[in-house]
Amino acid sequence: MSARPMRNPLLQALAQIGGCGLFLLTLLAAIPRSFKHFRETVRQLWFVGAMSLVIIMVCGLFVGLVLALQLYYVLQIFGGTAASGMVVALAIYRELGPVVTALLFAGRAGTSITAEIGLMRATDQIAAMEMMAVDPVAYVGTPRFLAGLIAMPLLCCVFCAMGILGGHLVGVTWLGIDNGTFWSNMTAAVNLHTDIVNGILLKSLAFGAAVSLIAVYQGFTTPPTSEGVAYATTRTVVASSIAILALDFVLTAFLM
Amino acid sequence: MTDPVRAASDDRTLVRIRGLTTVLNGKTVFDALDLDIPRGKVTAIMGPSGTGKTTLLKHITGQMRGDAGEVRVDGHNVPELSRLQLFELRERIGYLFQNSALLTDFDVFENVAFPLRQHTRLPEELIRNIVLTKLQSVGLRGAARLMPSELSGGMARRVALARAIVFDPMLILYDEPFVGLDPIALNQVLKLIRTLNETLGITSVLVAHELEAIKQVADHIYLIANGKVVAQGDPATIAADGSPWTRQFFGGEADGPVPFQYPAGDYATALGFAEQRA
Amino acid sequence: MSQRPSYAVGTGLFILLGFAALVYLATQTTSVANVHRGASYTVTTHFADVGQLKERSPVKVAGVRVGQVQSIALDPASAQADVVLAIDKNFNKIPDDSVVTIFTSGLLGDQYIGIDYGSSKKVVGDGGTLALSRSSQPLEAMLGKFLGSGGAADNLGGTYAVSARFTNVGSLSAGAPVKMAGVAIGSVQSVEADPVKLDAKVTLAIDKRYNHIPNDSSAAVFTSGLIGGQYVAIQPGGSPDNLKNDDELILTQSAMQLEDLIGKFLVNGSSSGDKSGSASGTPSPTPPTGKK
Repeated sequence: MSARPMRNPLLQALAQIGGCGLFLLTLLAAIPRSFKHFRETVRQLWFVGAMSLVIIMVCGLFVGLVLALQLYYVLQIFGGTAASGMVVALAIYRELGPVVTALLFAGRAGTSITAEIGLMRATDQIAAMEMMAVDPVAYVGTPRFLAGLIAMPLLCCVFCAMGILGGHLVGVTWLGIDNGTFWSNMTAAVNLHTDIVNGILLKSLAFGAAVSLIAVYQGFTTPPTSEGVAYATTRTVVASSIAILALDFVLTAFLM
Repeated sequence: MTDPVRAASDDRTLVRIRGLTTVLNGKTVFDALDLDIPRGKVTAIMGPSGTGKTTLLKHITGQMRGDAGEVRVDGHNVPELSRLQLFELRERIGYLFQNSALLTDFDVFENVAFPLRQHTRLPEELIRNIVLTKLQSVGLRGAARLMPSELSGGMARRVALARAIVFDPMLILYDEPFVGLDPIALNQVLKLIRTLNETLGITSVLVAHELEAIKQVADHIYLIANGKVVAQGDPATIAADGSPWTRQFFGGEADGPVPFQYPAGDYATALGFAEQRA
Repeated sequence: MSQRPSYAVGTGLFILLGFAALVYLATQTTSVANVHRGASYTVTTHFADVGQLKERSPVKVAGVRVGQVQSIALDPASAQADVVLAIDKNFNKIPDDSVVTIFTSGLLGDQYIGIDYGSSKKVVGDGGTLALSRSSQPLEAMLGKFLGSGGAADNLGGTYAVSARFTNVGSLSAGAPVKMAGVAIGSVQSVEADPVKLDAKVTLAIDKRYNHIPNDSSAAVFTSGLIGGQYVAIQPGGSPDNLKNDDELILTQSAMQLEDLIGKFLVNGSSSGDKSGSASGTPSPTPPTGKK
């Protein structure tokens, strides 16, 4: 941060948002050209999605476990422990699932995308692609962006499923809520459209787009030095987290 | 890849730079630079550090655009080309980066195969043969399955060279190919440049400082300083040239037309002795 | 080349896993799990009040889903709601005297229809009617249930009326449960002030099943918990004769006002039934106390 001259931080933030928006257009415009790099998209999906699976699954499980435990103790006061399955499902589907997955995704995949692209720039790999007549945005940028876009909803689904499993483990197996009650309350309350489609899929799609856009943008625009890469990685996490939570608010307001 | 009909119809110059002027961050890098690179020859571009030799290569490939003047490569004016046309041109230009710039995700084989896979739909068998041929020519066929991180600097540069020639380009640009190489690796690269030029007739442009190496390989030398060509000719001519630039550069003198001091204000004033002197 | 297939396979597995999770969430944890498929037959039933029941709400027998609500319409002649149930063909052995009840899944859940099998040999067929129904329970009853007072007993088996007089009923209102030994045995049918005797006359509707209550039992107005609703508790006496319809419970204990309680605590006085009270007494949060 000290490396660059201090300008008006507000202007700086605006410039970042503007740059990000323009870069999104560049990325989208490169989609047709990136079709011939389909294999690269698959490879990125592996790195971005499949490699994040373990952390997502573990965190999903623990979120479910903790949520069920907390809910049980609160609902017990009102004799409403039967509702814990329902509340676990709704809380995870509507908020925790997409948001926590996106935050983890930003930390796990976003930073690695930024660092990777930054290092590719620092070691002239991007310039080498330019010289080999390969569009770096279409080859490096868009596949990562698309991979993030595809991976996020899938990861979110896995996270939610693990969360439900965790909730079930604590609620039914450990604390002895009736299995049928747990599920029937859940199925009665969870709506396919508002909770699964709007809650999980739409939100996580939006978060995936935001996180991977920010990550790719930071990678492409940071000064190609080790200092610049380190700075950009930090900025990816900060900007992604803010974007996720702000988007969450906006989407919740519009969708619910 | 070189089109023989066009090569014959064009004159003997592959790259023609006229009146190139570039200002970067308020500093004039090129000041109406004129430079010709002959076809089928090895041309060396030399000059003190920071005179924009690498920048010149970037102008030839269209990675940078000058503020004025034209850069004609095989008849095309590079600054006027669209991105697509530029990409078509670059497919016929090989570029060897100073730090090799191998793609760290792929092994040696895939790095060399990368341009083929990106631009052609050749069958796997053919790609294999082309890549192994190129690797054989740089002497690294046995290293095909190593990752870039497992290569020494010299080996990485030879792999990068194999990648640069995989399309049999008309022009190869070498950006400081000798930096950081031990004498053996340096001579290996030197020999490769010469061989490629002789056997394939590839026009080569070298940016380098190593005078002894250049003398062995170059047909023509340009000495650039202060944004202009200050001396040119074949190695013998330029060594005999008595201009102060050549003397300083080839003699390796610390001070001369290239000043030891970076431009600054009056020394005494900076130290606060101005009044006393007055 | 050796690395490409492994990426592709791994990525494929990842995508499959993601979709499997999605399918699992969408089908097993949502109301889709309740969407009924397959052949069904319709049965009509009538409710005085369907509450929050909606179309496509589940129909369950013994907690297991057997169908869904097909339509809800108001019958203008009888001012009752006609509810048509679509029941899976597999469950075609429902006796025609089965009881249809509107339940709520949990405290906050959606409502659903439960069918309790009757004992008739005749089964209800397609287009048939289930005449015995219990309507949606009002919120007050729900609240009472939630706060642990057990809820109003159903009056399916019919009730008999018993009256009791209180000098003060607190916030007792019609619909409040009547309990014995903590178990609901009936509900308060009406609370009215007697213009002559100047006290409150409470009519209790007690389930006919509980027809062995001694006629010297006492009735007290209690409060469930600190903030809970009030209910009438019957404390059985020792008489060999049982309560019958239109009998009156002589021994009563009024609801305690907070002021009385405090006074009792401070000066060791007692709130006796001598004090004048009114049927429209102010809400008085009163902890349950022992007998007088």
